[in-house]
Amino acid sequence: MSKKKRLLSICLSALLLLGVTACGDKKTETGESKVSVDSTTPTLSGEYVYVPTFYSLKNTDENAYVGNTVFHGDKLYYTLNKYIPEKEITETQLMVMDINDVSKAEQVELPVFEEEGYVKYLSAMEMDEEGNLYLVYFLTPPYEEGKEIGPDDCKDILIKYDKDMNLVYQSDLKDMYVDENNSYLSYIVAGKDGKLIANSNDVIYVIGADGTPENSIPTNADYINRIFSTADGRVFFTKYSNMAPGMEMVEVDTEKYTLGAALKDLPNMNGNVVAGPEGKLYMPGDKYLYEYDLTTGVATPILDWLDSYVTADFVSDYLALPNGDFLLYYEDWSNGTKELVKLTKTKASEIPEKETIVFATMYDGDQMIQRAILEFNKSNPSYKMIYKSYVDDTVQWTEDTYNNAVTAMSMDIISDNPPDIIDLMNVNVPNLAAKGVFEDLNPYLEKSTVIKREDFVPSALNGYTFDGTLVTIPRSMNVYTLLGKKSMVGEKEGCTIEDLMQLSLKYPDSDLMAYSTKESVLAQFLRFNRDAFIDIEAGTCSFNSPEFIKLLEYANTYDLDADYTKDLPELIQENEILLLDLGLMDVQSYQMYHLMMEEEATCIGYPTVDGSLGVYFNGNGMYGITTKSTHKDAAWKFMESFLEYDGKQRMNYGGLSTRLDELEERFKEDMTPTYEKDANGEYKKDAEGNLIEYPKTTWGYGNNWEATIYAATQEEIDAVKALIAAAKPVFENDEEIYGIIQEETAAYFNGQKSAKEVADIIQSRVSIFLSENS
Amino acid sequence: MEEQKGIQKKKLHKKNKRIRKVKRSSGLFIAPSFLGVLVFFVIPFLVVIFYSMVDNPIAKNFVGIENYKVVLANNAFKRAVTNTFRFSIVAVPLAVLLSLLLAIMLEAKLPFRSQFRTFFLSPMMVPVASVVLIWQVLFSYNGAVNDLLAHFGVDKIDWLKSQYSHVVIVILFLWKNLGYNMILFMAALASIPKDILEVARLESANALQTFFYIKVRYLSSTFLFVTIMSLINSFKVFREVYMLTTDYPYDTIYMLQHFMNNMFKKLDYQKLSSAAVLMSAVMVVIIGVLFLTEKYFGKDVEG
Repeated sequence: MSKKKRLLSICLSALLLLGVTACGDKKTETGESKVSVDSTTPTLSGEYVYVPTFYSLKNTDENAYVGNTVFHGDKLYYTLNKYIPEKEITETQLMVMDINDVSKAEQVELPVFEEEGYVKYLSAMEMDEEGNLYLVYFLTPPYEEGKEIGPDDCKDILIKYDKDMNLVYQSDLKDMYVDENNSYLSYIVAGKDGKLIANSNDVIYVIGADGTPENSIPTNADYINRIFSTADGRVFFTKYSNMAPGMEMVEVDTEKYTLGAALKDLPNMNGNVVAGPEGKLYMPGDKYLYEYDLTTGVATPILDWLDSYVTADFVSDYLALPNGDFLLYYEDWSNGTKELVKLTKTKASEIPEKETIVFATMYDGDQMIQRAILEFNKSNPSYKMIYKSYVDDTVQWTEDTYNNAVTAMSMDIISDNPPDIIDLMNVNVPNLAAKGVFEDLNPYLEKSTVIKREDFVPSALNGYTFDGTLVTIPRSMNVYTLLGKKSMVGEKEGCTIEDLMQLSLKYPDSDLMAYSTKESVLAQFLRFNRDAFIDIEAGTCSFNSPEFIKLLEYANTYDLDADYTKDLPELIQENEILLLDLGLMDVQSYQMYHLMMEEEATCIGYPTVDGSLGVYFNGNGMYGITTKSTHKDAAWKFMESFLEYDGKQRMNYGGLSTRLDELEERFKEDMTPTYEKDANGEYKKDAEGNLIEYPKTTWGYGNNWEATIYAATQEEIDAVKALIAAAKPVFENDEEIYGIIQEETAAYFNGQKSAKEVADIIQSRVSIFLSENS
Repeated sequence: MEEQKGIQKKKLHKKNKRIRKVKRSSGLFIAPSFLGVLVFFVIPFLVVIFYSMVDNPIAKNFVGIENYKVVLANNAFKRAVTNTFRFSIVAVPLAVLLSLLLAIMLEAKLPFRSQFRTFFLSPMMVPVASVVLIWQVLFSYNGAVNDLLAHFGVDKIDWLKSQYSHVVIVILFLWKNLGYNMILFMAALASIPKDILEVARLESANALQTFFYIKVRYLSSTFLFVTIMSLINSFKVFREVYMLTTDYPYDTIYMLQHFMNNMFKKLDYQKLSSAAVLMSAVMVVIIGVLFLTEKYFGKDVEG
């Protein structure tokens, strides 16, 4: 090769290499990567973290709640509202705190404002740049039993005080509203030239500098989340509309009383936007706080809430400080604490390294588990648990996004660095358990000083034990079964497909279940009966058998679409249906369904192969530790933190607790009647001298039916316990088979194919599925 | 004499040095390609072999050839192999012969030759999703083909969920691949030396004799290439079948790739890898046989 050619080839190779090394994120001057909000996976640059410092809000009576907050310069003004039951009024105090010294707060003396014949409530507050204070009082007549209070009886009074608390004006806004549904101001914001911009429902109101309403602007929003103004006087509001996915932001022209075009494609956030210095806006999402540049339309995630030991849903208000720090008003409504949190922007390299534990989930936005992670991180400073979601909440959920998320999680699981803890929602638990993905929790239960195997409902543990390996412990469970009138279904608990078909034949004028369709009837029959047609061990099935064809033909006697003209109580009481779907979340739901029957009822259960009681459950709060985790002890410590019970449940997923002590406590409460007392504290008695019992709850269903639920009997509690003991989980593999059945039976139910043709196709397809797994 | 020997030694030494230098510089130039093949083909294949010898991708306990035994005994795998073999044995020869026929026809001076060529090439440009859509419109239970058959009093046929599904997939494969093969044959036919054909004509050879004794010989390498490409493309038909029928189709069109795709989704990498190794072994044998055949038929061909 000649020298010239050699030189040319070297230059070309070098150029090629340079081109490869030039790939990467664009960097701003500060070194932070700017990721467009259109990216499906927003990520932080990692260069800075925000270190939190928590300050308890002073002078906060636990019975008082913070109503409004306004940041003004170096001060935080907030109102404390406390209901005085003796006077039947709410007292409001205005407090001020210096954000540079949050150890003390002072009360600001508000001028007295009263209007005879009304009870007042401070509904909105604002302070402009000059320090003028604007208050909106919502006035309503005092409550009188039997007297209805309508919108015309109430009014809003807008009051402006100067910085020395001298009255500037007082304005009655009653005639401002465009209709009676708009009669309560949610927000007020100071605009240019002394104007105020406010909203009531979906209408924006512009109020002049003298307090006189100037104009109203309808927005057609389903919900206005917040109005805010920027430093240069521009006013925006965030809204949610059923016609558009996600929040939108709209500018208000207070001179022309018009709205600008809606800014869309914003990051997935809660609408609580705040204006910061240098024209930046801040938008809080579930995972990140975003910085939004109005000129470029680019949103950049700048902080991860969990990294800063806070969760987004407790951030009621916040302020962006000029030095890049943030001040949050943080109210944990789960325990009533109210704090001011200062987030100090710090270089990540200055923070000591922590061991990272990864919590992986297919679900983005579980605030409960994020709070649990936050608490764990706070109390275990050597660890940092991160919440890793495989589903990006900025992308619409479709089957493809789910499949991609499953693939991403699978890749992580088999890698050498899998997540430490996996959220088992939307995960094929039996398949992964068979591959030894999950750690056996039995040894951990034996060694634990906090929780034991005996603490939990056996069926909840047995349901998630595969070949002796306990993969998870559900925190609570929702139990489902079928209920029928004893006079019609008999006393026997449990049934087979044949039993139900015979029952249906016995009462030809009644449907088996409410709102039954061909598809739903088939689903109900198959839920616990796939074993009748499937031999898992042999990997064979018999969906082309006469029994299955008979089942198809039976399901085909129902309609394609459900008839919702009658309510459930009406249907069961008039014997138009034979069975009720009992969804057991608590004892009261059990009582309610029985009351709906209006006579003695039998839990007949979903049909099973052997005629035993068919009860199934969905577990809530189920997490597994991976066998390849290098932080198993820390992961177990995390799980212990919400599996233990000390009288206060840390994670409330609803449903029935899987802890026996918590269940017993709940059952005791359900069985304990409470009685009405008079004003003197004496028990009330009826005409016969019996104590009058308070209902536990009142349950309305549909338009005309209502049930009053009282303390449960021991018999009812025992029945609930029996259902819990008999419950079994339903897994994703079953859903795969049912998906094939559902897909193919559609042609039969639509009259396009015969039952035999469809049964043959199902047999062919499900055989393949079973063969693969055998 | 001694001097001459010395000179010869020096010359030999210089020659060897030059050869080594050439080899070194050649090696450097080949290195990127070699590294690429190593990183993207050889090493992944070795990883596949590794996974085929462990119990699962999580625990990775060595089990020897147990996975191969399990896979060979698995009914779904056997069904997939049968279907794939049956499909290939029908579709690949058809693809080769029909495309050759088309190439010969288009080589003749027919009117609208370029329009016919465009017509047969156009399926190559159609995206997979569009192909699937077209096939659904044609062959679904309420599709155009059944509508047409209804006019003739024929009952509806569930093309994709019956014994006929195999036929539909073969037609799909041929429709998609005939054009490409046809172009290859046309190029090969055009490159046959004209003088030899003229000599054959002068020697009173008829068209069939010319074709079998001369053209086939010159087309032997193209035959090999087209057959291999068609074989490879016959496996790629999984893409369309998957989009038409999802993970678990009717058993007559359940292909090897379905098996492997489903194993991948369930993290059964050991079964997937075993099946892949077995399949590649079979492919090596088939391609070896094809090479030998080509060598036999093309031995007399110049160049």
